[in-house]
Amino acid sequence: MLRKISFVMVLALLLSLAVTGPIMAQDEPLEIYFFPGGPEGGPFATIVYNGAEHANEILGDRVEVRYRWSDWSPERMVTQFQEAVAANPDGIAIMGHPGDDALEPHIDEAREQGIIVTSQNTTLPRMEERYVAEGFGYAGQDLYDSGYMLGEAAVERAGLGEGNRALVWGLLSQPTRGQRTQGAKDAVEAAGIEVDYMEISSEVDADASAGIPVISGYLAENPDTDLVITDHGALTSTLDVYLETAGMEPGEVFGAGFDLSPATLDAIESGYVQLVHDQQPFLQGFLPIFQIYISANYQFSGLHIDTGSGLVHEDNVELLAPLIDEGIR
Amino acid sequence: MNNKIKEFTRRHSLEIGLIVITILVWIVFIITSPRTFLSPKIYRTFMSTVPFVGLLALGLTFVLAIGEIDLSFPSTMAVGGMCFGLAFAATNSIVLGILAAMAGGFVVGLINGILVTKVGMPSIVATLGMMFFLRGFVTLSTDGSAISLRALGDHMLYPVFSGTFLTIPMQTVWFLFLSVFLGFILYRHQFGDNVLFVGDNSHTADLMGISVSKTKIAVFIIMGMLAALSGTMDVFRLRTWWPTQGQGYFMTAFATVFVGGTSMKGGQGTVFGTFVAAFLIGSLEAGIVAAGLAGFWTQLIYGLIIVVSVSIHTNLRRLGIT
Repeated sequence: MLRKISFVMVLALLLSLAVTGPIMAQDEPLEIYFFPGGPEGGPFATIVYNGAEHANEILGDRVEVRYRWSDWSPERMVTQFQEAVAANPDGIAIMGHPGDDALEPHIDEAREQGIIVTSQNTTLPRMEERYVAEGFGYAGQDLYDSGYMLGEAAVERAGLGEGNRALVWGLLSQPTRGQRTQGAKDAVEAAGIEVDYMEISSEVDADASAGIPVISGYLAENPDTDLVITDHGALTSTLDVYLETAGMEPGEVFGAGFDLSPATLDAIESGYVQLVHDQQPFLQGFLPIFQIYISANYQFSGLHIDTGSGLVHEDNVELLAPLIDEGIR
Repeated sequence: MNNKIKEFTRRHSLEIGLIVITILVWIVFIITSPRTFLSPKIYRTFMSTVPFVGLLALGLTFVLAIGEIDLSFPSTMAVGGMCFGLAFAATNSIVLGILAAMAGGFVVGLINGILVTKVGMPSIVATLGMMFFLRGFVTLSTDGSAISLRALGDHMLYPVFSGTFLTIPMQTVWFLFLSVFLGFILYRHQFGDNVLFVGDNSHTADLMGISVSKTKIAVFIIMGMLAALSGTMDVFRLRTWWPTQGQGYFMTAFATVFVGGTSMKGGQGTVFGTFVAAFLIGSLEAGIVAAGLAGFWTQLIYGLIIVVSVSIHTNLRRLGIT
């Protein structure tokens, strides 16, 4: 409850500043480079983009937002960040996938130029600590905790324990991003369940349908699987197709994953997906734009906002359905 | 004198056309976003980010010139980066790390070459298989985990690959040096003649006494070592190695070579074109975004420029101007 109240207060503060902003508004719009993370049109990245665009619309001619699409490639993110720094904008909102080590020299350089940098989706703990007073915030989930929350809730709702088997399909190889997978895996293992882990290959990462033969093969070999957790928005939205193709009936395997989308909504309604952790990507686009705006205009320090605290299941999905269709949830 | 200029223009119309396209594109960027493109900083940034793709494209230029194709280079890049990362982490020696990376690239190139020339597999199939195999190999070898190399930044030899020389980023110094060297090999050395000859007509080349197999294996080795070097230099920049390294460069490297003017049909290759195209392709996305084209425009414009450039090349060739 406290978390909800504090979040509402932060949102109210941001919106009131946006309304009163014109009084103190600068002549030139703030130029902001924003990283939605994935490819153009990707389901998750598009919701992040929608959030950033919504903030852009509210702030009107006070900001000018430019987007860099990175296909979730950490290397591309670094290259695009370097290019953004060279363009010398007023602010950059970066995803933290490359990690502190890779981004540190470039963020230092950006700060030397007076560019406000903030982060979303994946944390950059060292950079955030160093530059929090200068507007470096974070809007996203606490990765490990989110993973653990989903894993723990999945075990509880599915009524599993010792002697059961689970598959966790995730991205442990990515330095910071992998923490969410680790959290889910740890939670399921803590319940005494035997866990098989599979890494999401780059092909499947880019196109979830490429994962059909992978999971079909796994389930054919391990028909006693009770729980499947996919740590990837696109894979979660395809989970119904995976399980159906593998010859499973709805509910035969407990399906759990991350991030909402219209396809995930269908998967929940069809009974193949029982539990989804929602990190509210819309806010990961919306809040960083405001973070940069209030830091540039009012010298506010960085706000660390956990956007990932909701679990969606068949009991509450109806409430969210219209917002999912609009690309807000 | 006029005839010499005409002859020079005719022979190099492809390269001249590419330079004109590049300048025109940059002029458009300067007009649309003067604050960014009139500042030297953006060009210095390109000089530190473009060479990774540029090195891959140099290798591909040779592979396409000999009439083959290599799809495994993004994975080879990851092999090079991993070999460097593991060797450096174990020994704290940059020299040993680079030797390990080069050895990795050499072995991959050798295997590719043998599969194509001795086993007789089509290069597209052999290198496709190697692409998956190598990606699996690096993921298995590292248990899917990244290698953090933060200490690399404090090493005395770190600036050799990631510093500057007369304000020019070292990545471009290496790219320029290797372009000149490989350009010399392709245009002025017997080996380059053999590459183009084999690419044009391998049967005739064989009858002329050129060892087609050895030449092809050597070209795949060059590709492998350049990809490994690119991976190593990328690790210097990022101070981290990921099992996914290189995946973002696949299409960009091909676009660079084709826009540069190298044909898929073999027997033709332009190192100069590849060098210029690397900077053209490498600057497109930043220019489109800086121009203020919002949201989803990037790929559309990017694709349009590639199609227009390659169409111009194709028509120049068809008209026999180059």
